[in-house]
Amino acid sequence: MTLLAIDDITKSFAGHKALDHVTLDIRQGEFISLLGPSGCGKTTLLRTVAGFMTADKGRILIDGEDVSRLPPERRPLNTVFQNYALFPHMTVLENVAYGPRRAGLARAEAERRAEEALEMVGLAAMSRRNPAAMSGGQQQRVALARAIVNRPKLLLLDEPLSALDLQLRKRMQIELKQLQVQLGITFIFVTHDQDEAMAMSDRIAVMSAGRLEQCDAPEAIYRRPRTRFVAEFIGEANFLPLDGAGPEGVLRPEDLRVLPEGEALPPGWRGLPARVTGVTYVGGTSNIYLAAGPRELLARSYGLPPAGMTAGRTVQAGFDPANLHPLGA
Amino acid sequence: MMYRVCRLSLAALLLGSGAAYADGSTLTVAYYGGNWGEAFDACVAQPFTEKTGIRVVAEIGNSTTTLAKLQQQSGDAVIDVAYMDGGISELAHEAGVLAPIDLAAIPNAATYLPQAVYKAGDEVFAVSAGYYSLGLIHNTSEVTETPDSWLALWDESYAGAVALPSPSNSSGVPFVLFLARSVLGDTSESLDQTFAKLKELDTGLLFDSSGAASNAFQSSEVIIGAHFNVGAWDLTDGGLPIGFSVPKEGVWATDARMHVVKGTKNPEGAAQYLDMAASPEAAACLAERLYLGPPVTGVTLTPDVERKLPWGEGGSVEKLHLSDWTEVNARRAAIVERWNREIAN
Amino acid sequence: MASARLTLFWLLALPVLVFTGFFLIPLGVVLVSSFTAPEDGLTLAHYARILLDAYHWQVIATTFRIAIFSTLICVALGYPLAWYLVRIVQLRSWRRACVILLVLPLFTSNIVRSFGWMVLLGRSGLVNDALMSLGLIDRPMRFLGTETGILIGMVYILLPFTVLTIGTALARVDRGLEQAARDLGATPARAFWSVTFPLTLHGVMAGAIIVFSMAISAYVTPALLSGGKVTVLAMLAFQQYSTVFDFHYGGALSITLLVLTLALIGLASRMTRGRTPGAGGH
Repeated sequence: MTLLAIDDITKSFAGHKALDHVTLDIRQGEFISLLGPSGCGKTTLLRTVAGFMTADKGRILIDGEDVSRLPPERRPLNTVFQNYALFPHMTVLENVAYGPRRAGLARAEAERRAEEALEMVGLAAMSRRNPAAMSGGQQQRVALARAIVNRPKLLLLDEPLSALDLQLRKRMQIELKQLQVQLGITFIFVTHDQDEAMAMSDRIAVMSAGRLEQCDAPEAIYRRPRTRFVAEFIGEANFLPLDGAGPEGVLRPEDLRVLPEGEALPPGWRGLPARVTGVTYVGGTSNIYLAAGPRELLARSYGLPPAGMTAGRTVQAGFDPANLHPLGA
Repeated sequence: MMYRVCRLSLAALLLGSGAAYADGSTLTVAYYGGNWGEAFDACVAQPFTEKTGIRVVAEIGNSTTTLAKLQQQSGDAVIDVAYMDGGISELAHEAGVLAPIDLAAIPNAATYLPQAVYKAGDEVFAVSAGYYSLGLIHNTSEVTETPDSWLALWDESYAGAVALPSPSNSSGVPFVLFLARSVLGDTSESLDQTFAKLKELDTGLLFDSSGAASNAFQSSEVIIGAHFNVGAWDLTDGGLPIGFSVPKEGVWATDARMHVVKGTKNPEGAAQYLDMAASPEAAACLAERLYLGPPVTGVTLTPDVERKLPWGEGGSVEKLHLSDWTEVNARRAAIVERWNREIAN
Repeated sequence: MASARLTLFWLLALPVLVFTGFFLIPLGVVLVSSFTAPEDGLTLAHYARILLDAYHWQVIATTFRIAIFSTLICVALGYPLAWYLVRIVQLRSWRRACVILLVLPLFTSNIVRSFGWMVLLGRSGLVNDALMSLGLIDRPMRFLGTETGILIGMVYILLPFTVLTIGTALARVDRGLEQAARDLGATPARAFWSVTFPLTLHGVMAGAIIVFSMAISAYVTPALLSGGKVTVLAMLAFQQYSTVFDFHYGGALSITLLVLTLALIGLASRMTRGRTPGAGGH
């Protein structure tokens, strides 16, 4: 069942198209990431959904109701802001109780709800603190508690983890995903980090230059990228002609095998002569960089690179044509 | 040349720091700022320097400031001659900062009006530099008939548009006494009748400075009231419909006075300066510039300047009500206090 | 190291010297004269004369009334003006022009300004002419020589201080915070009162304290616009110094004004403390 329908949204700033006919349906309970490089329009799209911006054209529907003209306070959603936007003149508890208070709850009831939400993010003990006196990770959890305390149908998260260090970030990714499953709230998660998107999302919406390039499950995005942009933005990609010549397809590095010259290929595989230009070994995987005529290719395998695989050596690069995914399909 | 410049600037420096510098080639004179200071400079100081070769160093400040300076420098006089108004003059005398003036050393002193020489016992402590008065001023386009009595201020039709000096102006307190004695016939010690009458008066402005009064007359904020003869005639000269009159009760007046400072290192220079100031030329010059009533006889003036003098057309110093400043000073605090409570409220 | 310490010494010593020389010593002189009398040495008589007298309390009340109203009006007008400058004006040059327009009155002489007020507020001034020609009044209203007139003049001169302090505070408020409030269900008005306003309160207070201190001690504007008919404490003190020459009573008046002012400011900042975000809270 569709919770949020983004219907043909277009938005321009001073002649520059920030959003270009974006249409996207998001289902109830889904965790969807808006992924793309900075300036691709993902944050603009989020702010349009939240109501901080008005689209030039198109509609936003939540549960079938057109909210395009509603101010932010009347939309059934909440946001976790990139810099958290915690109120510096309020305690943690007051920050979290702000939403319930605005929803008309009495102070005591609002604070009880706030305590619950803080419990959920593991900060129950810190409710009397001033947010400025907390670490980045803790502030992040307060922002999260504040956004979920009213149990919105839809939670918007604007790069909420970008300010955290790598370790904390990985942990928060897991916690966030668990929380989402536990609460059953639909999450729209803006990020420019493809790994983060891959790890957490049910679906990923890849955006580029104001356009929605592709929206699919992570595996489908990876395996069957529809455009060259998606293929390159998500993971690494080799581009090879589908059959000898003509349109190109995408071959992921782990599907490309490097074989000694003259060795027989598995049945049905295609091979092409190549020269090794470099070899790296990182974190349990080996990367072999190849030049096949004018093309640059990358092959990835687990474990150490095969013995004698040094730069300058002539080899053959082989792959199963079934793994070569045609673009645009 | 270089040496002279150095010496001059050094002199300025020393004067500024309060040290004595006197070899007879300069005379330090304390007088007022603005157009009064300019007039004293042009009418007295410059001719004095031309005649004697003694350069005049001006020490600018109002009467009160000058008195404060004199009290501070007592013992090591920097100021030789000081201009101060009536009232402050008596205070300076009491403070013992003045030297007696030897009229014999001043040839022109013979022409002084008798009122122009201020004595304590046999000693002369001040001589007048010229009189000014607080006349009855009216806006000729709003007050068509020239009022001939101060009682015109109480006329219903001028309600809310009357100007009087406040006690924050040096004329304020003596003017109250003038109104009591010469206009309202209140000879009582208490001045109850005078204050009751003042309380009735619906004023538009109780001015603390002459400029404030000029502004108010100029903008028609007030249309009748007391104002200094020089301030009023400046407005008239500037083309405004302002008339100055000396009513039948006469006008309150005072004068700027010159004093020789106790401990002056240039008494001859000081005497020569006073002599120049008492010359008919200097008096005429001041009368033309400030409409200051000459304290000496034998001054010839144009009819136009004559009618703008403090005593008005055809008048003389006899028309002026000059205050008994010792009485004014003694009653000043009490009158100010009563004014504050009953009038400025 | 030694030279750095020397620099530090001078950095501290100079302001201390200037502060002592130009502020503490004169204040000390005034303080001493307020507690002494020419005949009988140390005395509280001058203070008794002021504090046990209904007239003086009436002047104090007038002084504080004018200062408090000036402060309230300056804040009430200054906030929207600051809002306009910081939040609404987009064009940098127009904002700069507005700020110059705002501080311009501070650079004109009091005499010029007071003449301007006469032209505007006088018996036959523009305001009265307009009101009369509109038939709203049939006799000129009196502005000059009233508390209203003084108040108008004070607000005109002191308004820039609140606009500037509030504007500075407003410019430092993260607009994301207002959006967060809206996102959590606050109407624009609610977001302003619960988030923006508390975060600018220190600017409001700073402006209010500046305006109040300047208004309570103001001499020239009240003296010019009162027309000698309204008396504030500073005028009373100045009068004692300039015309009555009673430095003891005048000193006591000045010290009374100073103490009452400090007491009120202390009270006001105590009342707002804890409601503003802690120092370095951002």
